[in-house]
Amino acid sequence: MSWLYAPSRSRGAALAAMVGVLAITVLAAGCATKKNADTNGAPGAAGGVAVGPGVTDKVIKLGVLTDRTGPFAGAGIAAEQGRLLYWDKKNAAGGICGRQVQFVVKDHGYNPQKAVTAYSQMEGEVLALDELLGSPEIAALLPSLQSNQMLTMAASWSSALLSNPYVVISGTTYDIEMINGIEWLLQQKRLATGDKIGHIFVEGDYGENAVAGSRAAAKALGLQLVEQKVKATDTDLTGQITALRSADVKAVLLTTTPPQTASAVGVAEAAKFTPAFLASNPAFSPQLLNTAAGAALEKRLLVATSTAPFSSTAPGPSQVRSAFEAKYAGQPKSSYVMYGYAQGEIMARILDTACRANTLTRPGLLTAFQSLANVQTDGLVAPLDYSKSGRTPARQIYLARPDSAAAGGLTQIQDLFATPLASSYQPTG
Amino acid sequence: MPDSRSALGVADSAPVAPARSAVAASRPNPRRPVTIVAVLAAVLVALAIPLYADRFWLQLGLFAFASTVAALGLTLLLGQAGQLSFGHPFFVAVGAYGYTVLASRPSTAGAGHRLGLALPPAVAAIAAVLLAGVAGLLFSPIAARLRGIYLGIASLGLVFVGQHILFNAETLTGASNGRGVPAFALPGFRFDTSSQETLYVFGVPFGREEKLWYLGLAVTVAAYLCARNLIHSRPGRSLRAVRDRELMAGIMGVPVTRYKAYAFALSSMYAGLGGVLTALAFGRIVPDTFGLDLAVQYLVIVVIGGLGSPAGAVAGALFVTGLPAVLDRYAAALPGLAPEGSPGVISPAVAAQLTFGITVIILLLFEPGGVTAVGRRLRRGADRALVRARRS
Amino acid sequence: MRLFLELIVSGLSLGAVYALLALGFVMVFKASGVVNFAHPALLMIGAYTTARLAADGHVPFVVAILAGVGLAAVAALVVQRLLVYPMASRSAITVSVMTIGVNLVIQTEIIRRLGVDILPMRDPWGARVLTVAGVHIPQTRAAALVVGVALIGAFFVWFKFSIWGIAMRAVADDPETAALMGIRRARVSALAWTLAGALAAVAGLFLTVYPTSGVAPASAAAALRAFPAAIIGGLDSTGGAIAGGLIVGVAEVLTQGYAHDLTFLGQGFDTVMPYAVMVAVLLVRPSGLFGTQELHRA
Repeated sequence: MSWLYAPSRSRGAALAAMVGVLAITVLAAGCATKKNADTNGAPGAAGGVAVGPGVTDKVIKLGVLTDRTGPFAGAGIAAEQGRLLYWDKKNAAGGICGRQVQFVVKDHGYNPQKAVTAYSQMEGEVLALDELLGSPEIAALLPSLQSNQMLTMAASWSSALLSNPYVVISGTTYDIEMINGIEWLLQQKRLATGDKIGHIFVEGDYGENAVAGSRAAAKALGLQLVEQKVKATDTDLTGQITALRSADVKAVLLTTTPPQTASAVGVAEAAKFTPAFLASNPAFSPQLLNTAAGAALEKRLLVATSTAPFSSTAPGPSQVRSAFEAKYAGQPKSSYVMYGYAQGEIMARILDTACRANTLTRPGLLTAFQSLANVQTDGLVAPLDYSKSGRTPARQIYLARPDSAAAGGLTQIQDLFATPLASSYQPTG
Repeated sequence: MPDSRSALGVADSAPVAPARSAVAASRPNPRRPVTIVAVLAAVLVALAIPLYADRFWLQLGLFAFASTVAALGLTLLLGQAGQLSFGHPFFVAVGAYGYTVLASRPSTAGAGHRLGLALPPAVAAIAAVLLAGVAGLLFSPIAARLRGIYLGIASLGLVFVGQHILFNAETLTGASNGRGVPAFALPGFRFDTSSQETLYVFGVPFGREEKLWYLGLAVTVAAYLCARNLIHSRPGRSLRAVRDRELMAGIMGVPVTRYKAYAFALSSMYAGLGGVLTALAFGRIVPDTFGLDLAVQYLVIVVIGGLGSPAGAVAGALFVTGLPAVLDRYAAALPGLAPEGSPGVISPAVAAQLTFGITVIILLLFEPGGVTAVGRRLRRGADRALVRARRS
Repeated sequence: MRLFLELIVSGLSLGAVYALLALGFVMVFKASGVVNFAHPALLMIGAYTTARLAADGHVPFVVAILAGVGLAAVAALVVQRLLVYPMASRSAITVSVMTIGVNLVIQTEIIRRLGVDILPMRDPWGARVLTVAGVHIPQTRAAALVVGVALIGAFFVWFKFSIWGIAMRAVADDPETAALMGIRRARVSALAWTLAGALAAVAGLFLTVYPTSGVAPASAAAALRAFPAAIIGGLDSTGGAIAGGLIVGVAEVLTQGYAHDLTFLGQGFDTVMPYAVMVAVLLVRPSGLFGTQELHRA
């Protein structure tokens, strides 16, 4: 047993050393007794506009709490690129209310504890959160967002977040994406009543929310649902596809990470199992077209998304494309770039509306946000309606197909639409 | 307490230099006044921190308190009883979710059916700790059969099974969306930011973090003193006997299996208490928190701090909880780093994480005894300085 | 029945890969007494190097895989020489925790370099499927089985008959006598680490080809299967590591395949199953299937 440990002693000096470190750290943190100001935006005024935390008469600071070192670091960086593309342009054109918009970026590494700690640091410095990425992190911070009145653009399309009025979702929720897709397949006669459909979904809010939609659709449309839950770190979906094949499903929904999507479609193709494949919007990334499953993906996969594909010819996406080429030529074009740009558009709308009402405060932002009944983004995202708190802001989706010839890897095959069930569906609970 | 220790003259917290304490007993300890002053200073600083520190430091401190309490349990289990357990996050989760379920009101609205017993928070906290202890007792027969690294990895299995349950038992845990943690309250006092009236202490508004700081501090100090007491007591010696020479300890009359079970139960109770503090620090707990990363984190804490040493658990928790957060906060000031958002170059967050990993490696490479061994070196240096000062 | 056979074959081939990981893990444990938390990092070094080199198609696959294996082996050797060997007199748990730091540093760097990319391996087997007696098995899995068996077989022959193999066994059995006989423990340890790195890289290859989609940050998590596999087999038994790997592979794939019938266990149980099997084995045999029961001397 002795190999396990080396005995060591502790005495007061160790405590003293620790205290010394503690004291120095606290002193270094700023010795002045902290300010009495109520951090929820004791309204100051700067140039006739009521201002909240993070706002001076030259600058508006927004927070970004994202993943830079964990499993979604790539998505986080791509969204950053999109965000910078938008705000560089907007800041150059004068910014918001005559102020430049700046960002305080913190990494949580997909660890909820780090997220809570980082949030507590930036909470007093920023007016709103321009991005909060990661379902567990969002879940852990929900009560704080509410008590701090912090408007937050969540990098998630889960309808479970709608109950918090401060969360901004930039598109159609996962459950409605799936409902739209399933009903479309029925309309296209690729499915018939009584058929079985499979849904492979990742553990967590992302997967659970999507499967809630497919459950509702299956029940309402007379289909049988076969569910397969996976962990986000699973890389080989042979077992799941094998099981779905023996259940003889006619369609497979994929609410998975991009590597898992490629694995599932590749395995099915090799086994000559050819159901219709429909993916939630985060389940695809253009890098998949470089993998061995690339050809199968082009042939079999459909992606449901409310953010326009990178290659879309609508004015909004075209602008992003040219800006991206100018600034980031040669770099991978992830779909999150479009998302980041759309984020910028939406946040700018909210800020501009608040500016016109002379209230760049947190309550002011909430009021501005809830007044936006029709946010149009030049075809970047489906039209968004934020005026009904607790309801999904959009119900339409694009359908896109992986295409190695298209910029960003996706070609639109169906313009924005919402099926009857999707238009009337209300998430329960 | 120092008197009884030196009076014993035998190996106390570890079989190292029993002669030293005998010698120490025979002449006045030159360090005594310094130690007392240091401890007093520590107490004063700790009490005053909420008046000066902003929310970031307070939140970090809450997490550090929670980690410390849990780590105290693990260092007792590993360092004193010699049982390697990676299963600590499981018992932390029992404490955290136990408190949450026991203290929450049941609900059927909105998010679906949620169980809750609506007990007073103080009662719920104690019950959660006891629940964790019971869980530890239940696992201890398995623990008694296994040795060394086998116990370690088997208990890791407990963590994975536990997380699986947390993700699936929606009515209890809220599954992946997590569950809100009811604010702690003692009769007449809520540890919460009240919207009606604000408590002012020396002119500083006290919100949830400030109030919880004192709770965390009190609980941590109590847990620390308990751990130290245990180490210097008869059960502590029995545990060490079981750790070092199990057969001999059995022959000498130590009920080996029972003591091993007690050690596991006690360490689980510490973990449960740490879990309650974790839940309170978060405000809303999600299952992702209680996984492999946390198990690795606790192991790093007790080894970096110094095995078997309560002060080591404190120092280790400060190091492992605090250093990454501090690095993250100030990394942007390091020269030569690209701003966040440029792919393929080293961003401040990446630099912070690399620095932490390298620090762990270097610390263990050059001082495997951990932070307490560094403290010992400092103390020896201080001793020599004092002796020289007396001579001159 | 066909489903069951396919799952068994798939499980065995996956198990062969896990066996390679477990074998390296056990070798390091036997030679240095260290629980190597940096095993996932070694796997990623091998897989990432191979994928990056093979990516643009200029470097032939064989060269790329040799480079990956070589680099992982060298990295393991460097860790042993620079970090583990100087700490030889320290407690094993301290060294083990030090490998946690090594794992963090290496993985952070590789994830940074990966970015958004998912790197395919450009292996010669692709997504082709063999059909043997009506059972479909991917060529990559068949190759994994063949290569795994070959490597394991070669390893055992070497272990039993070569000088270095005997030296390794001697050091594991009785370090003091081995030292008295002139066997340098440090050299044996270095060899063990180097082999572990190489094996991890080979395992990494087979864990990132079809049916997975390539090297991505999530690829490292597969290396964690080595832990229960090594324990099930018995942490000081190289033969046990093989058995453990196969058991874990089969258990995982069977649970995946029959997940629909196992929903009472909660969905997604397949990642937990190896640990459940491990606890079951340990209850019956506390030192693993083939591990030596520890003698407890007073």
